[in-house]
Amino acid sequence: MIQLGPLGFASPLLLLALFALPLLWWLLRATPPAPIRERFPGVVVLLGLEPPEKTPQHTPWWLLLLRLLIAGLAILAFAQPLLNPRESLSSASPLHLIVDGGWASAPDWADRMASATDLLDRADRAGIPVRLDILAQPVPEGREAENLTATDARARIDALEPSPWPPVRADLLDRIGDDAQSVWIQDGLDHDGTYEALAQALADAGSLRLIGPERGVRAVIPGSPEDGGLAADVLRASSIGESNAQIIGFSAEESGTRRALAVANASFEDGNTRAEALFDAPLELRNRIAVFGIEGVAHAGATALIDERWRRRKVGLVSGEREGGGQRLLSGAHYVRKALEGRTELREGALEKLIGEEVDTLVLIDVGAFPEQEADALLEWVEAGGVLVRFAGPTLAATAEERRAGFGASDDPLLPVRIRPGGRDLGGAMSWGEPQKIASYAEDSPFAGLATPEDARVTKQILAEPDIDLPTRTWASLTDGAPLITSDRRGDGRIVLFHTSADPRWSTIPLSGLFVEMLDRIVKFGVGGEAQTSTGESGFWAPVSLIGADGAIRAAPEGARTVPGENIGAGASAIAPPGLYRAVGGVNAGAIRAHNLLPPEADLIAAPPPPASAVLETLGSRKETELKPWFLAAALALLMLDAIAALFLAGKLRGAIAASALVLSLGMADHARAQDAAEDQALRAALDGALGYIITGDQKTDSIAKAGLYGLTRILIERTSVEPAEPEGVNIETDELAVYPLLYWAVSESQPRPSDEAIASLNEYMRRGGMLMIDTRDRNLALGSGDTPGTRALKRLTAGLDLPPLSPVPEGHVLHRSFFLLDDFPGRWRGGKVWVEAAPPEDMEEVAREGGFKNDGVSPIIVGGHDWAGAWALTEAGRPMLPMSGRGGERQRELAYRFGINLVMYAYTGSYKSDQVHIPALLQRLGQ
Amino acid sequence: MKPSTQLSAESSAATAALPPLLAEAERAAASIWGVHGRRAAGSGETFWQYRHAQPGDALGSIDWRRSGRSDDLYVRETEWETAQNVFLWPDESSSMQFSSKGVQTTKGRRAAVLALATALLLERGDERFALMRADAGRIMQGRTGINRLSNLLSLPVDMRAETGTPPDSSFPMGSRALFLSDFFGDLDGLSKAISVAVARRVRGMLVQVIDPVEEAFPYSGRILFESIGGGLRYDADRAESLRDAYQEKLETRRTALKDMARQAGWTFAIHRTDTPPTPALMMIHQTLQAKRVSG
Repeated sequence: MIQLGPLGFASPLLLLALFALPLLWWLLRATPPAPIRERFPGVVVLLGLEPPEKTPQHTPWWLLLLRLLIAGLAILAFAQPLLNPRESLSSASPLHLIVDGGWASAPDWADRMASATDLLDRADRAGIPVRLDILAQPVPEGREAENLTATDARARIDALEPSPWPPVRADLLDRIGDDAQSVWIQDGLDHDGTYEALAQALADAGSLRLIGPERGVRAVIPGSPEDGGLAADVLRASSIGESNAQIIGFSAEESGTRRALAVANASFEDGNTRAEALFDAPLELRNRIAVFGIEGVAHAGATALIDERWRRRKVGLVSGEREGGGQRLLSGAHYVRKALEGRTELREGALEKLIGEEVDTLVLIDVGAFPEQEADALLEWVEAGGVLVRFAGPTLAATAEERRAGFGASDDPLLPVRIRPGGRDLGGAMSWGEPQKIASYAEDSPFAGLATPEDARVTKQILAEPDIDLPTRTWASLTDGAPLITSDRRGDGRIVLFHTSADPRWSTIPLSGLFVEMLDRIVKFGVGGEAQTSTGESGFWAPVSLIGADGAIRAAPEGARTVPGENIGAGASAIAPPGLYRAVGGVNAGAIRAHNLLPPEADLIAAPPPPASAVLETLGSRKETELKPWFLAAALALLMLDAIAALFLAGKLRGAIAASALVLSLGMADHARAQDAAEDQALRAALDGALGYIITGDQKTDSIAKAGLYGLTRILIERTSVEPAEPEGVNIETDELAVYPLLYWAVSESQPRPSDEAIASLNEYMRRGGMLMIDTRDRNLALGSGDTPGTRALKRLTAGLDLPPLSPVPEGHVLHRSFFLLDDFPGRWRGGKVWVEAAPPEDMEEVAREGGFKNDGVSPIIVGGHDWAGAWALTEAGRPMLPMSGRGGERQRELAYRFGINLVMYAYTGSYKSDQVHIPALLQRLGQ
Repeated sequence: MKPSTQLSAESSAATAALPPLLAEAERAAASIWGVHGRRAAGSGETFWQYRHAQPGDALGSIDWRRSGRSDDLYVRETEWETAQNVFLWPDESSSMQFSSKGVQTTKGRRAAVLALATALLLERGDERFALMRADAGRIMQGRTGINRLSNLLSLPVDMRAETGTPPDSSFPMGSRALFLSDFFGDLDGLSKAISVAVARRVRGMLVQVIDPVEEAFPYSGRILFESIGGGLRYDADRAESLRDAYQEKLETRRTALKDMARQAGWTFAIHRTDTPPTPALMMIHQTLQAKRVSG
């Protein structure tokens, strides 16, 4: 094996034959070209003549060169040239195969496996042991630096799948063995900062070959949930150049499928490795987005989950305050509004309306009592998962007092605790020396970790009835131990009560920043959500669904391992694969949290340049290609050229050239003539509006189609103002289609499948407003399930045709009434279904219209099997050509003509006639 | 179908395609006018001339009627009417079956046309002719002779020698001979035939019928020359370099032929197949008419 650049030769000894080429040159020069045989009686005279010059006529130099080239190519071919030949492995030291196997390896996994398999094959041939390290997978205890046979290693590689987490390289650093030929199939990223050290260590321990991808992968991470908008960050390893990425927001459906809901663009500037994609979508769509993906990329890094924290809440606000005469600053609703604005979708209005709008959180400011019906609805809403936040105030206090005074201790189910009647509360207020501040928050409350500002003082509050449960329901209390905020569950939802008012008359809390944070945290509860705090995960979390290395999201298997809380959101690893996790027990029990491959602050770092002694190889580029067949083919082609040249020299080619030139010119002339004829035909059709039928090549079918359209044309002229010219046969391969308002295509089994160009021109025809009528002529056309000869022919012929979804002609379709009022569309047959483009589904109508070009609702295609042309067909003398089938008789033929007229009207006027039918009603209305 | 009828059918099919040899020969001969008789006094019945009686003239030969009109004595001479025997040899060897590109007729056919046309002219003078062929030495005359000759010349020849030499023939004393050939054959054989003829006091003419390319030798490059029969080959590596040598050798051969003819008191002429046959025919005719064929 020798190698010249990317070219290697498996049998290099044969190349020595190249030295014989000069000899060949001399020989070829010495051998005169084959003589021309010439009959010549004067040969008698020639006999005995000594030629004056013995040197024969030389072979022309170019022919010599050609022949040398042939010989050279043949020699090269037999030396077995290989493009990108594989280097052989030395049999002296073991092969150390290192496979990253992490998420960034997934996109070109097949290439990686091919490289690995190839290496192992060669190791097998060389008979050397293999040490296999798969960095993304934890090494079982005691199997480090294990020498495997190539076959065993191969079995492990065959079963290997990429892991949706980064490879761990640091571990390997500790156990690099002695002398080995290392090959590291790496992913081009420096995941844990040990790339350089590992590469150096491997290179030092023997030789190192690095096989890596050509270009780095990209990853997406969701933007911070704290920000108002919904955003995703795209990361790249290389900071060079500008580029774009499309981020798609998907919904995660129950079925496991995704639906793209929104698209945002992220553009990298030169020098940046991070670009932001900001989603601008309506709230309903926005809140359904659960997954980010990079367009056209499928791996774990290109899939990022978001959870409840990213949801923008819909908050309803109901205020029971009496209008303060325009004193906005004295209205609690004003403070709540200000606190929630921008972070949530705030709705105001009547309570029932808000519940109907499916708000996530309802804030009631000083609302005391509800009508019974409203209270039931509210309770139902809370139990279904709503979060009800109530602020105290004079009204609430009064209501509590009334309730107490009325029927004893009946609890208000819409309050978390029982309220002590206001009188005592108010009286107690006199005893306070000074306003109280917030002392502490309960550990398990969403407020845990919030500051207790000095300036937030409470001057007035309502008090909870002491109760055994009171401490557990208290989220925040004042310095004197009085509960300030209490909360209790109701079904799946929760009720939160601020024991003070939302306006600054009872406390200064609404004036502090604390108020905003408190409301924010409460709002983030969400439907069914619990304790979605943004800090400090704890406890254990069980996976709900997991992201695969291919970027797909799958339900977590039964009994999947739970993950300690500190791992959640801190980057994926073998212990904590990426996915959606649900807290098991603990304060957060039931909370769902997205655990993505990369932590929010992560960056992709490109692998540093490898040590100088390492050989760098691009993945997939070095596929060994045997060039022998190509060389031989080239030699063979040249050999044929040589034969032609030799014939030419021997003067035997002239006739052949002349003949082929003649044939060629005749053919071109013929073609030019045909083109002229086609243009004439198109011109006629364009000027007079002829109906067209597609020439199928089946004589009988075509003549009936022609007679049918002829008959229809006559009837049209007779009865309507449409006066088309004689119908034209249309060759879809060559003719211009756009000039025909209607193309009739009688599907014939014998018609060859149209060429791709013909299909494209039919597609263009339909797209630009043409109407194609396909007639299978076998009565029972059932698309999909049917298997009649006509259907088969239809399927074969229309493969590749860009057909819209079809449906049977609906009741009230324009075809029923564009000229005549028709119940069905008989031809020679009747009773089968006729199909037109399906009307867009209700919800897609908007989209369909926006998509532009929907042809104004006119179907570009009509498919049926009633053999209409057969019914329309008239002879020159005006007599019907074919008998009608069945009982219909001539009445049915009449109906067929009526359908034909309707059809032509539909083709010409589109949906205009559909509007027209309403005119009587409109006129009637105008008259009144 | 019997083999013989089949054969004759085949041969007539083969000849039907060609313009009848006789017609072509007649066309050639028709353009020659005013060539009558021997233009010499001799034994015959047609009046030729009156001349003054000379001493030695037999008394009975004096024409008294003419002599009575003047003082002198006149002898009435009649035209020499002894029928001449002309032996025709159109070479039919395979080397004659050649025509180069652009030339309408083969040498062999041209030779046959010339021979037949000559015979036609001879027949006009009531003279006799014979085809020199091993199988057909008969002397023919009259229209039947012409037809017979035409048939003989039209018949395909089965066995052809590569080049031709005149066949042995028993010439009557004082007959004439016309050899039409390319004379690419053995010159010794030709010389022998001529000397046999001369011994019988035969005077004659050699006409070399030759194709233009055989004179011009317009070849170049590597060419394998083959004789028409295929028996002879010459491999020329560079044909163009042979042209001068060839033409020189051809000239030498012609000189030898000319010498041979002169020594025998015969005439040598050259006829190229790309020229019309009539001038050659004229020359042949005149030469054969002359009392003395000058060399």
